[in-house]
Amino acid sequence: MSNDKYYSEIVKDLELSFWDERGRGARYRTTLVGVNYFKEKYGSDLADKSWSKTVQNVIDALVKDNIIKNATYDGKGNVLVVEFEGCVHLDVERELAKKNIDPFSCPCANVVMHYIDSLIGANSELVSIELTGDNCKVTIGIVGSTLEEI
Amino acid sequence: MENLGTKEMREMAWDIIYNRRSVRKFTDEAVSEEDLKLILEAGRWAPSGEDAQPWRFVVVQDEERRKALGKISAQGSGRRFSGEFITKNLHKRFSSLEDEEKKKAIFKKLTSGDVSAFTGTAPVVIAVIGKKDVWDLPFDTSAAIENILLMTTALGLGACWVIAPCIDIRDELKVKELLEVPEDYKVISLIPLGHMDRLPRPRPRIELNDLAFSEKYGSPLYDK
Repeated sequence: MSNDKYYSEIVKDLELSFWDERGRGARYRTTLVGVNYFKEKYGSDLADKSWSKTVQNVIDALVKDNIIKNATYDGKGNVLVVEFEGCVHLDVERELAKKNIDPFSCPCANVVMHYIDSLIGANSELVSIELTGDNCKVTIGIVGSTLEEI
Repeated sequence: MENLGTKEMREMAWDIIYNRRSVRKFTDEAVSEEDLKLILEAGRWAPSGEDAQPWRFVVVQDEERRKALGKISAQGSGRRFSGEFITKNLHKRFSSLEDEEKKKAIFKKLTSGDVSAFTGTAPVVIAVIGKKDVWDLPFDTSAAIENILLMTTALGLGACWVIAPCIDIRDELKVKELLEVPEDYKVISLIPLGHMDRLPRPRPRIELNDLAFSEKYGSPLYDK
């Protein structure tokens, strides 16, 4: 028995509660949301010596686990941009946007950051999340290194 | 008790509140045990919901541990400001600053994390942690922190309320590991303190008539 709409509503209500409680600070308390699922399922298997292959591995896992339909990415210097297509979390973000709340948490981006961070030994920063139709474009700031140095 | 409400008491209280500053530069002079105990007592006497008193204070004086806290602080704030730099929010924030060299220096200081790295240079760092299983944790611990800051000011010392190393859960977990904080507690903030190099100037404040309202929001309590 499954009720995706119900779970989506619950997640939206929780995110709204979090926003009410912490405002812009909420984004920093949700940087690990979604990570444990992938750590437990895939361990360090998604990390590769190359940042590009690592991001692709994460995308493949997100697709395999029916979380997104697909994703593309591009990165240079300190900036990595990933565009997720058809993410299961999209409805939650759309509901927040109706209340003029900019998206502040992206579990998919959190997983990308987790595995990239394992290559650079430092934490990256989820800089922005933009909703574009059925896609979410996330910008990740690579700090303490550049993608070319990884 | 008879001193409360006197002119002297009012002036003293105002002096302490007004002269509290965020101090980021310290001398090498040690903080006395007597002063440290008074500062901790001030935190202890803060109000708390249901009198839960959820605060605990980890006093860090060991040089290596202070350096490690400074590094986590720098990473936390450097990362946040780097994100602001990438989105150009930092440029918007300082758009009125015309001196390009000064702007460049500020951006470098912020994105490098230097603005919070000073945490490790203070002779004493108080890590304020709080028991999670209470009703009003953030409010209780904030009251304790403000008491700490005011007592520090009254003693002629300087301190700064630093959240950079704890605001992101990933950084908070590093601080917890370093200070061996148990799972049922969270790290609220770090308070580096010591003898100050100088008293910084006060930052601008929103005018009272723009933030105090009568009976309902938007109806000013005071005339301009």
